[in-house]
Amino acid sequence: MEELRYILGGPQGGGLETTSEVLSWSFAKSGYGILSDREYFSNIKGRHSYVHATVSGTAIPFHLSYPVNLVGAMDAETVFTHFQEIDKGGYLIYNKDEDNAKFDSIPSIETELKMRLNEFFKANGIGRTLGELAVYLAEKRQINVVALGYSSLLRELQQEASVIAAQASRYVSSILIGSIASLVGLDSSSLAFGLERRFRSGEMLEHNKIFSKIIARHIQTFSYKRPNLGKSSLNRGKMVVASGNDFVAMAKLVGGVRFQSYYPITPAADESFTLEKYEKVGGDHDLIVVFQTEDEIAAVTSAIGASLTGARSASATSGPGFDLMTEGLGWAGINEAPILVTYYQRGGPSTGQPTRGSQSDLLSSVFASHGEFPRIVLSSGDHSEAFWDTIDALNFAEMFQTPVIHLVDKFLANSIASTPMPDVSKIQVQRGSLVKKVGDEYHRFDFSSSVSPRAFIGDERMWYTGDEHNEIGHIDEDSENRIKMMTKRMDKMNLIEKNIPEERRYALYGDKDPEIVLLGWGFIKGVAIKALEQLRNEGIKASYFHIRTFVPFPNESVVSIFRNVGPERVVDVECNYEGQAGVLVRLNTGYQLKKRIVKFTGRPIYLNELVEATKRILSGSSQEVLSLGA
Amino acid sequence: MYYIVMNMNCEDCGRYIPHSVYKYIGFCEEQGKVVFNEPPTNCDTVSKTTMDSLSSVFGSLGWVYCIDCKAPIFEMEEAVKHIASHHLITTRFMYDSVAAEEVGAVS
Repeated sequence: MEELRYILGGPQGGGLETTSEVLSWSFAKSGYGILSDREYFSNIKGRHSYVHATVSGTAIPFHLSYPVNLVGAMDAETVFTHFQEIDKGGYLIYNKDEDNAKFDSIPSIETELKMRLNEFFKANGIGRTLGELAVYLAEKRQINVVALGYSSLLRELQQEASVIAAQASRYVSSILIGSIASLVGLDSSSLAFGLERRFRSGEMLEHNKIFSKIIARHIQTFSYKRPNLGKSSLNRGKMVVASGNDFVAMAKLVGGVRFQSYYPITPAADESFTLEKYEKVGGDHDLIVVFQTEDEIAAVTSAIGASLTGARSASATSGPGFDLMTEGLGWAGINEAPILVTYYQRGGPSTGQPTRGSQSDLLSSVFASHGEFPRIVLSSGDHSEAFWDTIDALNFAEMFQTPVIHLVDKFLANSIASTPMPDVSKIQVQRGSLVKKVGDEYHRFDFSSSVSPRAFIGDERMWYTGDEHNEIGHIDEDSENRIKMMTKRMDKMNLIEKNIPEERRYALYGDKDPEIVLLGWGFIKGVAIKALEQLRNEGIKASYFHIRTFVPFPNESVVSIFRNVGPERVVDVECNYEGQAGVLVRLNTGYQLKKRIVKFTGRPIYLNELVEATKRILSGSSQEVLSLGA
Repeated sequence: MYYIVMNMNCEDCGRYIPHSVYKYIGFCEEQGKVVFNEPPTNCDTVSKTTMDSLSSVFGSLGWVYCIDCKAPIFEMEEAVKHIASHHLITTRFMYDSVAAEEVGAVS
């Protein structure tokens, strides 16, 4: 088995986070690479959530795919939702105490799914209960059904140890952790590492260790052939296992951010929560101030204020919050205030699909706010890119004294990945042009350069206003001044063009003489690169053009691709309806992308569906709308 | 008037405080420990839900919560229908000190 793909599902708030984290850390400790994506419902507790993961011992995975080898179910709803995604010969772990549960009696299953299930059950002559479905899967689909009585397992634990009442859901997590560890033969020291990292010490840790052994005893009674992942051949040195949110937070810490503001919003808030753990105010070693404001207007304006005092400043938000920030963004633009806004994309418009992923805020980030001012827009494709893009974004903001928007998809933000430890010795903090000597003649917006040397509030006299202003910052509407000041600011775009090299703006993967080029951005990267490998195995030469900066845009390279390959063979691959990167390609180069593969269900693009869609495009289709994923 | 309660398990007992998402896990007030929805063979203090007690709850709190439907109920007639469908209704939840660590930051 080259890779193990699994889904863990259960009610939101029922212990899924713990299950996923412990398994991710345990697999990583055993030397495997892992990517684990969390898909959750936008209520607080109870609705169906799941984790979809890929584990590999031969390569660090950056893709997810169907079918999966294993589904671990915390409740009946998970089985009804995901049983069709299990590969022949795969495994289903479920609670046999719920054998009498009927899909049409589970209120939280959405009506559309109930209708699809009804058709499936009728067509296959299956009764409506979980027990009957389990029998069907075992007999007709050759699925290895691991039916466990969760209540009796818990009682067994209670007899051997005890159960901490206030943490009861943790023990349900342990059933899946123990079962999967035992089925795949995860070594006990790696499992212990995962448990210790989650529970640190104390009763809960001890109970989990005991419970793992109890569960392993039960799993041993099943005579199924075990999934064999093989020993890992990866040797990547020290690894970090963390979410995209956490990689951005780590980069902000080591990249010198001293002020982070935010208003809690999905899927951005986790970044600020991580930063709060390192907040320290006062003393000799101030690290970072994390400021939770009353809304996003205050978040962006407080970041601007901190920036004017000399603190490296950032904020993090998602679509609805960014909308509120747009006026502040313009204020930063006219006042040349360096700030970084990390923009986590979720499904819109309005509240939309707050916990689902999307790439539909690209045009919003490029065009947000009225008037004209320079900005930089970056986008990250994986966890490592998210780390280094954050460092670059902070430097760009101060070097060019302009707002920088860093786009991160929810798919990247909320997925946990094992990634080689970034070499922090390579980090350079570049603060741009600063006033060396403070004097009476300081002009904050000096015309002598498009990037005027910065002094900080408190060091020198200076004025800031949202109005057009003169060199010292006073309101000035004179036409000559307006021409000079607009030209000074907008000329930064030329500086940005010169100083951010073309090769920083994109990456090209795959065949040098391709039949087809997939053009994408953000979290498309991992699945697209893996798709090239599969297409090559099927005799199709393909490449992937990955856009890393939208402002400045990689014009030359995009034009070159179109000229070399031909417009008919370039396919736009995006997680939005319109093909927003395609719109920017046309705007910047004049080339129209005529073929596209899009997905806007809020679920990531999976390997198998991308490969199949690409083949259909090669066979003449001009548009593929993808839909896979519960 | 007693509501129909046959083959009672812990979840049918008024002293069972259920977990908010796993109805088979609950806290037994009588025993002072976690129980896993067992037939109360060793228990002679089963407290059955009555229409009178349900009426009293609606008179005071004005709501009950259905663990199966993951939804609050504000009408007594509706609550009776849920009970008839063997749903577990409650006004109390087992304390879950780790809930915040298990749910995503949704806003």
